Amino acid sequence: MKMNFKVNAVARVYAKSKCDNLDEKRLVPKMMLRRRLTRSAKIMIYLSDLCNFSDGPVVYGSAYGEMQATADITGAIANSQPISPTAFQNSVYNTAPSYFSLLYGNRNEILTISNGDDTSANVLQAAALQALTMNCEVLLICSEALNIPNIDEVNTCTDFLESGVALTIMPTDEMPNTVVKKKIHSGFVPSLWDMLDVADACEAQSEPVITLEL
Amino acid sequence: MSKSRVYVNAYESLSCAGNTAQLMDAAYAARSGITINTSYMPGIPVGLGSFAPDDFFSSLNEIVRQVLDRSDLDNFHDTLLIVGSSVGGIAQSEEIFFRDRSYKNIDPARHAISVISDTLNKAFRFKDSRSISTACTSSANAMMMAQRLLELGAYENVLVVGADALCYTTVCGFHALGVLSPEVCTPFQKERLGMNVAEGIAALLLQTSLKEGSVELCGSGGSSDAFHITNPDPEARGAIASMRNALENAGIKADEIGYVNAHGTGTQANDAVESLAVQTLFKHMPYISSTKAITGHTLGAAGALEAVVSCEVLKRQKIPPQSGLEIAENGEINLPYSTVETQVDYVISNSFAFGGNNTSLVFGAVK
Repeated sequence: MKMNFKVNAVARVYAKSKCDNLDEKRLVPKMMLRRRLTRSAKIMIYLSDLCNFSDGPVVYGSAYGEMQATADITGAIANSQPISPTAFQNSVYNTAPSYFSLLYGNRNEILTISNGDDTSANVLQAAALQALTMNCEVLLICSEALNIPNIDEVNTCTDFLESGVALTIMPTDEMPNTVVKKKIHSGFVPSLWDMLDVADACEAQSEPVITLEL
Repeated sequence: MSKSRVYVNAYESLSCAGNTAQLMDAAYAARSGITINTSYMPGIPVGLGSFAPDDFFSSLNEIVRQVLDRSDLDNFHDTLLIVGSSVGGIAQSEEIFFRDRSYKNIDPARHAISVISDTLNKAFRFKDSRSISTACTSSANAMMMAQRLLELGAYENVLVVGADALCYTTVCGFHALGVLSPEVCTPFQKERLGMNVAEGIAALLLQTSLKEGSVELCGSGGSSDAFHITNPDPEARGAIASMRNALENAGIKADEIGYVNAHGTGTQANDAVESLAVQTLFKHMPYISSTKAITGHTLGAAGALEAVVSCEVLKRQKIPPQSGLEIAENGEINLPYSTVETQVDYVISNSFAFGGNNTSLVFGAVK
């Protein structure tokens, strides 16, 4: 089933090791909260701000989740050290959108998708369903934060260890005016590719309307 | 747009209490599958739910095979798979990392949440697959997504699978939060000691066609607490909102609910807040109990596993007691001390997760 959606905002950020200047002090003025944020949460809050979105349903995606928190936990267990409660709290895949909801008091539904290389394709499908079900604007974000010590032991294809892409969509009766083409986004984690395809197409079009499969 | 009705037409599960039939026997007999274990944390006994020595991924395929055998389908080639899992393949990664002290031999594809859908796709060749990871609401959210897609007519068959294995990260992580019970958990008990982490697998085939033995998935609703990264909102606004949204989506009134299948982990915070939510929303005092005293908390699998329990309650018209209960903390909710045989038209099943992620599902008996 296919439906048409207006894309109201597009944003992306990426870096080979660490994204600088995610504007954390302005976006998260409370120091206690800011200090607890994971890299994925900081990327998410930065991108949502660029999309001017703070209230509404959110669909977030990540193939590998909170790598640093997971590595901290397994490292502690391996060394018979105590686990940091904050690391465990921050280890679930929905950590980033949860901090986003805490920051803005957003009580709407949050979904987190994780399906390997299909993650951002699934995020697009899930966001289309959410937008249609609730008949409102939905924020969708995919991000990966892989810059943990010794990641080179398993990373063979990703140049950009931190990356994120965001869109806001809402259902429309308008006809599509934007064709999304599948591309190879060399250096980026494949889990982001489908959303990068949409972002590329929408940035080249004013008031883009796209077709998404549910 | 007219909406299709959604039916649960076949299911099976595996937990420390056994398969679905064994689980329900145990639930009605208040017989827990939890065992006291020190293998994850030497010298520190904790109650855990394990189905070892059964292999997790072999069991996963076997449970889904049994659902296919009970369905009217020849295969799953025209079925959408939606997985809910909170840990994916982390148990395998831990084993390799603890042995090698290096990531070199870890396969990222076998570490991620997608290992569940990859395993099932390889065995059954689904039409398409999705995978949700919202911690302990993962498979409840998978049920909600399935309901919405089926209602809209995007699919006719959706298989929801909730699956999570025991691993060091969750056992030691919950211990670090100070919420693990050294004994079998006692949800809603006045002086309770905490929760039991467990593994579980549950698979449910949802279809738009009515069959003999169908249970209807009438509604679903979600919300976010926006309160704390792990602790629930003490005013229960998120839990009330998810239940209210599910009731509204189902088109029924609160007083039509006959049984609340509670999230009921046995932690101080969850049970107090969930009790307050139920007390606030349901003035007619429906029966409420948590089967986590039988199965433990199967994390991302819990929503699907407890959906199976909800379907069984509707089919059998029998409500399981609150196992382990002696003195309830909250006297304003209706916790049964023994099995209750009564007419149950609708059941609401709650799942709450880290990040204040809340999901409620309403199931109805087909009349």
